[in-house]
Amino acid sequence: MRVEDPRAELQLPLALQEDLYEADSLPEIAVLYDPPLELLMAYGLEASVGVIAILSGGSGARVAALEAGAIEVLSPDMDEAEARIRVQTAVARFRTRLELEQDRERLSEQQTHMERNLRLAARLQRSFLPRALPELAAVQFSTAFLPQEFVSGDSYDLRRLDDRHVLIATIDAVGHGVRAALLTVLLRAHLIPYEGTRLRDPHEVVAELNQALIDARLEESPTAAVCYALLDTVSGTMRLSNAGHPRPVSLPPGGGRRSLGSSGLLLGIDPMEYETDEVQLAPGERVFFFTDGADPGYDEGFSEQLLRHADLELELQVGGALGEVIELDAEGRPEDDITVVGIHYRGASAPDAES
Amino acid sequence: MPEDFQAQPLDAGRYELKLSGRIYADAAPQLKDHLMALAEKDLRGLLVDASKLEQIDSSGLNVFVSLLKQIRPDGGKIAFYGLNANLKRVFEITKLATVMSVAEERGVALGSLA
Repeated sequence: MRVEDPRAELQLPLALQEDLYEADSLPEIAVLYDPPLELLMAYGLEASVGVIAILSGGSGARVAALEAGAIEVLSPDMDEAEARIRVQTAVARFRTRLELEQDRERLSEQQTHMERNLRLAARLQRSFLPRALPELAAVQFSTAFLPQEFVSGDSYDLRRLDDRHVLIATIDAVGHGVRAALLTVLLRAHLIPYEGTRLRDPHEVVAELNQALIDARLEESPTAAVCYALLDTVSGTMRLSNAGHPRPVSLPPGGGRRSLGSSGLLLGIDPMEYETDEVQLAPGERVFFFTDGADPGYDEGFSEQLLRHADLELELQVGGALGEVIELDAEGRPEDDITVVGIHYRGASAPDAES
Repeated sequence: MPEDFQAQPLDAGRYELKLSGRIYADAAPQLKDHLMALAEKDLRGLLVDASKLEQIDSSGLNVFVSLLKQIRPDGGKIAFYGLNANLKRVFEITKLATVMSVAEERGVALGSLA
């Protein structure tokens, strides 16, 4: 950037003049000779141009120029070799600073773009979750869904199938983030409770999920755990099938706790037959389905806390128990994806109306 | 998280890996890279000393599932020993004990790799 200056004939060594001329020809550098302070301050506001000032004044003027934003200040009586090195260094340093700032801006834009995509992915994933909990006289529901990142490797399904049956399923794909979230989408697509008009047994659905994951032939052979249950809200019978998933915990009204059903091999390893277990719920019994994020290390700490919070309302019981066993980071995220589906079986004095 | 993972060769194609602490999602990729590199080389049997392993999550487990799928077509096997009560519960719930060996004693686990 060439700036006209009436004092250009300052007595500077020829080599230094040439260096300054070369620097001044760069678009990001301006060389000013005894500039007024206001001009220096104006340049100082322009972050993309660095000013090298040649001042014939004393050290006071030099300090003022530096404070105004000059990247280097020279004086005509300075040693030539030192002055030339100062010019070269100031130019190189300023250009590096500009490049770093440009890189940072680019990274920031990319990060913003990525975050926007992740937020979109999170919204899409949540669109696969039930929009509202079934409202039934016989059963009360409560859920907790806490992704470790924007998106979750967990998913769940909770829906009324007909005037008697409710489907409850929790899925935990291995790992976290987008890869795991996409895996849950694949599995959710195969979570099909009916074959024609026939309500399929839970083990049939789980076996299909297993085969779907094997057939997908995904890189790195990801696994997943699922617990799939059908609750007959009239009889209180729950039929469930489990592949590598923490067994649901039941808190019977008389006290204590029990783990429901058995478990089969994690999904995606070998073609398998799975089992359907049948359990009978008593009026007042509560059952909790949860992924291992709620029970790190499978040490049953979460189940124990559910029991300790058993006198609370269902939602408070889930929240209270989770609060005792998980730690959140500074952004309020847990160490692992967490999903909990709690149900309170009140008993069916009358069939529920269609909702 | 362990500082590093270094399976020691036992004999032709068999290695022993000592695990300690917690194997969660943060440590799993490093462990996987190490074991997959050995599988590419000659690993066909992996003996896992879990006597100092405290916890493992699904990401950690999946390292061994991936390895098993990689080496199984060539007769490869994985055997664990020294699991604590919680880890035994993990293997029971996930039923991984049906596709990998789990033993109390090292000698028994080693024998299952034969």
